[in-house]
Amino acid sequence: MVTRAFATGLRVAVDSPKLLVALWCVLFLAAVPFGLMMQQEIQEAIGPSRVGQTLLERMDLVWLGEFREGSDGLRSTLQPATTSAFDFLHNLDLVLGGRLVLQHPALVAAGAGYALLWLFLLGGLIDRYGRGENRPGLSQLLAAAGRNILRLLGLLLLSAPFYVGTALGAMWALKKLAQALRDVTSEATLLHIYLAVVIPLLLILALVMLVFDYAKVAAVLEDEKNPLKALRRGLRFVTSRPLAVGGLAALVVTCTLVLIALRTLMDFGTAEGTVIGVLAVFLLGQLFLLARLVLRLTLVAGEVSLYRSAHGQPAGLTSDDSIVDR
Amino acid sequence: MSDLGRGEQIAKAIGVAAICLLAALAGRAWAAPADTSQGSAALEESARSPRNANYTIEVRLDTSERRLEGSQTLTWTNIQAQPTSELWVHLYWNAFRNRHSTWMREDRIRGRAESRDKIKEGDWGYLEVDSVTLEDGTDLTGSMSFRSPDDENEEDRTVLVVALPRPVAPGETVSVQMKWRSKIPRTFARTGFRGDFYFIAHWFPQLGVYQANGWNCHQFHAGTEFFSDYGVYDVSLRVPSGYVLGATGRPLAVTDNGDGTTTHRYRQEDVHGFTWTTSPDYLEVLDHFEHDGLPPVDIRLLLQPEHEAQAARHIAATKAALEHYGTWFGAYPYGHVTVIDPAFGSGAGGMEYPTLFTAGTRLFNPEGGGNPEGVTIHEAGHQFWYGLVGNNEFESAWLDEGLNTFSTARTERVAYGESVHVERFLGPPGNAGSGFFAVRVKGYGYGDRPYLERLGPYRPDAASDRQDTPSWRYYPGSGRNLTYSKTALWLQTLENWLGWETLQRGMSTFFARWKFRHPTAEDFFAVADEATEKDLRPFFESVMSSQTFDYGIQSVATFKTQNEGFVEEGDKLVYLPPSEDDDEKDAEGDAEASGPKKTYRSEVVARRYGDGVFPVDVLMVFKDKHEIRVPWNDDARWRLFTQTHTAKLDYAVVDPEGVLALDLRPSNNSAQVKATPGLPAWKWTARWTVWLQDLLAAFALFV
Repeated sequence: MVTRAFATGLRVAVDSPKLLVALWCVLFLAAVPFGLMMQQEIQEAIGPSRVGQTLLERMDLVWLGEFREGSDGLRSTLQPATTSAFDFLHNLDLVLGGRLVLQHPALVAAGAGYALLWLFLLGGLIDRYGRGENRPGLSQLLAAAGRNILRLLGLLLLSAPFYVGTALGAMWALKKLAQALRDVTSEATLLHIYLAVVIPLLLILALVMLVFDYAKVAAVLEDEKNPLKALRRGLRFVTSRPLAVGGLAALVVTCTLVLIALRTLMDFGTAEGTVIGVLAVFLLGQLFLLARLVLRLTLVAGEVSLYRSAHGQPAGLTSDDSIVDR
Repeated sequence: MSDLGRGEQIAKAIGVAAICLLAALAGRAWAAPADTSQGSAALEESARSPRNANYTIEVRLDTSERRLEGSQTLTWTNIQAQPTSELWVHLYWNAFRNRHSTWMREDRIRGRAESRDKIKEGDWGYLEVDSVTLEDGTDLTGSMSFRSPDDENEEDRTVLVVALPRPVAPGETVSVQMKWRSKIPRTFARTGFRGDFYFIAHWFPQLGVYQANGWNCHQFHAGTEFFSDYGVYDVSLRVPSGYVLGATGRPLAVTDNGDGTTTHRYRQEDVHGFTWTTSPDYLEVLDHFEHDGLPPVDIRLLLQPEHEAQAARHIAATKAALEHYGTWFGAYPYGHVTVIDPAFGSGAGGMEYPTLFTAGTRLFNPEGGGNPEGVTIHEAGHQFWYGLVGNNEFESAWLDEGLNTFSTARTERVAYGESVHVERFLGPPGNAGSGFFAVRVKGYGYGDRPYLERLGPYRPDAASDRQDTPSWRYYPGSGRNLTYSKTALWLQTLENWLGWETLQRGMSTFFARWKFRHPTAEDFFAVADEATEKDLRPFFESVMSSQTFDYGIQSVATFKTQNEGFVEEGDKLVYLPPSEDDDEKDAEGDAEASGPKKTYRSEVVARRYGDGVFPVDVLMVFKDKHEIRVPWNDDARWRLFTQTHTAKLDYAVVDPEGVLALDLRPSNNSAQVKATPGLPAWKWTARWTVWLQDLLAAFALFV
């Protein structure tokens, strides 16, 4: 069931290139204003200096130090971790370390805005996938999104205390752990202990995320406007099929980690010094982002497929097998 | 026959005899000088230092209470020309006694105190002297008092003064016995315990240095290290059996006491301190250094078991330091060195002690990333700058830290080449930057000037203090950057300016002349002038101030020399229009073009943005690759450089070879006539944008 749901999700995801491109455009356009600001800052900082020649061959850390000095704005985010093949790993570090919301306020605001946009589109995606439309048309997608946004917002608000609670609980646990481990003098021991504690915490977080994922699916597919009832359905679904739910999520997470690993392996240095070279590196990065979007859609479509299968519907999404009869 | 009766005469004789006996006994306490090597003629002959402060110490470690109980005999000779009636003694561990010590106050100022909010009772440390007696039994315990010569902090207990019953004359020796006990701190800095790991440094009552202007015995400050006289240390350490022990010096004997403890006796001559460490977990690795022209050195590495795979890296780095420092400056004379890989999180890493030093590494440390090689070379290097050349680290810390930082960078370059940038990921939450896992990141570095890595730490504090401020008076948050980074940068400037051979001659002369002694900054400057045969005073005065250096090119422009506008022709004014511009032909100085070659007037405005003055060149490079170099040796704030040439100016650079390593902003040293910052800006923006897009997508994980 898990592999079928995953395969279905993946098939649906890659089978809708226009949707993928549209989602990629949203992600790209959300970043463009900041990109333009950063480009302007870098260009002004280089000015007429010949350091520009050096920067075409490699990152000059002396120049980078001057560029970042004293800045707590956007400039401070330009660093090796954010301009190399380890950028995805850096962000994974931020997520796992609870530092995502500690980034520059403008970036956090943009991230929140993008997340809300994604939530909006998610309602449409679940609705269309639920109706068996593997390639939802834009107007239908947006219409469905508009129909479902309020219930999804309700679930988002409901999820906030759970996420905050999980985060606070994790922070409390880790603080206690740090105090308990103050006399551990082996880094390996420390690492193992942290893994032993952090992994269950991550599983709790994953559980919260999955419950709300299926709550959203239930809210849309079963036309449930009450977020509490939708949450109950999501919780019931997850607890009654933990292996299937967990298995699907684990598959997607594994693929994401493989993607991040592949990205880090593509550390070819920073010597692209021509327009074509710059474009090539940029496009390679976009390819990875596209792959991430594919995996995200795979998860959404896979979850819908799993939900449908559990309700006696065929897992494969066809236009005759919609749960929702409108 | 006197008027006194016989009985009275006998009593008087007995009284005189008693007085003579007492005088003789007292005289033993202040014996004539010379035999500071405890009576061994062989040792006297081999004495390399004044050996005027010698210690025989017995100490017992109580691991259950985290305490030390010790007794010591300090034999001190007054080698100055004036007497003294006091002994000034450092009690360093009292810095960790409570929050009101000078060290703790300054630690708060420099911003580290936030992490010390939860200090438990067992974490604090102290050193209590229970008794002080002269060799003849005279009890001086009541004459002890605490002083705070630096900041009058009456609650600071790191300087103890013992008043003597009579002055110690020049050349005289006094022998003092002390009994003391201490509570080992849970490491605040460098020394203490973590779990079963003990690193015991500056742990016993240690005499200050008596100099021509009195006792030099500063309070313990958060930003400074140590200063003491050379002598012989004979130390017996009683620790739990089964604990591996490393210490200054060579082991003389190991004795099982039969009560679950073992006594390790160590001895070392001609050092100015004694440090030891013990843990049941150490792995021992032995190796041997040999190099033509240098004396052999036994290397003993005490390693954490989880770092066993990095043993060879520690050994290789130690050997690199012994080889290069020995070849460049002077031989390491002791014949042995102990390298300690401290326990993780112990706070004891990256520090130097006589014939022993701590390195420090991580579970995952990729080769080529600079560590543990960098810290190992640096701390091994301190055996030369600090250990052998014993400057006062309270007052001129840069004399060891700065010289050593420069020497470390040079050794790393020669032995390992350019290091690769390393990023760390996935650490304990809340601990950004200290990730467990490390990756090498290609394409990020300092090019052919790796020493410019020091510019980043130096720049924010460049003007914070005069470098010749006594180190203990630096602003606590900035002293380190002046001491380490600024000094290394101006030494690099000297190398770039005078050549390595000349600088090396200066540094090796300084080493040879001042090893086993206590040089000051003035001593260094004097040797530098003499050995380099240059008057470096203006340079030293400038770098010792808080002046900053920053040369840059403000603007570059190039014009046709042909005039434009109204010109006289005969008795009339004639208008000359602007001539057409043909860049390609102009650039190549096309010989085939008909008519006379065009000439161009190029103007370069160079600025001195910083206060510091340094002789620099301004290089003008033209489109036909022709170069003109003009020296700028005055103190003007700006200069206009002009040249007429048959090709247009391409770009100009001030200090093109980067001689002035102290230049705060090397990026403004050049300017192109036709600037093209667009492509590099887009390149790095494009990379950054991919990261940003992924970051935004990460927010959507939670909806």
